Amino acid sequence: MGRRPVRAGPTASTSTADDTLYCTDDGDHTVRKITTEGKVLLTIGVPNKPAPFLSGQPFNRCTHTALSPKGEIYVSDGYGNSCVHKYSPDGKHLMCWGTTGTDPGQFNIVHNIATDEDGWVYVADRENHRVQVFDGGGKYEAQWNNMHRPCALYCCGGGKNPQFIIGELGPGMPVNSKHTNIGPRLSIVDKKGAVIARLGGEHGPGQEPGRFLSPHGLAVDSKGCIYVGEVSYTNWSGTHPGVPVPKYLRSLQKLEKVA
Amino acid sequence: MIMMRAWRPAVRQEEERMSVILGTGEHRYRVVENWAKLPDGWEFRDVAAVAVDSKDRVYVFTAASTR
Repeated sequence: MGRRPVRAGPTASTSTADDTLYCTDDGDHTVRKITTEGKVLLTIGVPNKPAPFLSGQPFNRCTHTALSPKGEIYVSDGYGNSCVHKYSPDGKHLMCWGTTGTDPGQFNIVHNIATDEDGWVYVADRENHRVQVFDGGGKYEAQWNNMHRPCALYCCGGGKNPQFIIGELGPGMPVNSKHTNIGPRLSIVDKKGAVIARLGGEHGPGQEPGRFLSPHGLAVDSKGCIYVGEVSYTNWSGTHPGVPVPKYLRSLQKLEKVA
Repeated sequence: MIMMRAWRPAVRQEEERMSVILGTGEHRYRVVENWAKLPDGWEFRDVAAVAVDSKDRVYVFTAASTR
């Protein structure tokens, strides 16, 4: 599905109801709804026409998409904005919430978004090291902490008791680049954000089995297996300051559920 | 079926001994290396997002797949 070269963070999500995909492209500032054969059904945003930086207008490097129970479309926006947009299923802009900052309802890199069956909206507020929870109207409900740079976010379903997988980036500053037990890793949490399991991350980034570089995209199949996409090349300088980028880096792996 | 049941745990134990397991309790995962098989000359360069459809087909959103 790589249409064109993109920068750091195009993202996608899928609607299980009708098997359509939502591709969120931070490189050209659009969200495209496509069939699994690749036919574009809807485009939100004007390709290559970003809204002004931190304007709150859609989009400036949008990052991800999630759907409400009614099929309304939430878009996290993003690297160059600091808000969440809500659209009708046919792409009409309904509302927007969020500004830059650290208070509830404020964001510091809105990097991912997920929804559950009850309509709650979960936003990965990456550089504030938290996930914020909102109702479908953008009203702040809660925040989850005890995580490090939440980058990927996936709701595993489960009806009234959904679990979530959070893909966390590791240390990104020279001063803490050798610090341990802060990722990159996956964390599995319950609907209140309490940690159920940590996958990897104890000993920093790496290509070895069981380590991660930059978990950026997550999906789970019907058997509970997790697919992890990583922006290994783009984020290499962040995970390994001063180290030349290797010729090959793993960017996709499968974690098979052990029965 | 009984033979299958007797046989499967042994295989599972062997797989677990040979591979890396992440997580604890009900959330244990075996790391599958080189799961995706791409055509010769193709490789993923950054995978920004993945998705799974109702038939467990996996979609990979990636910047470029060829050298």
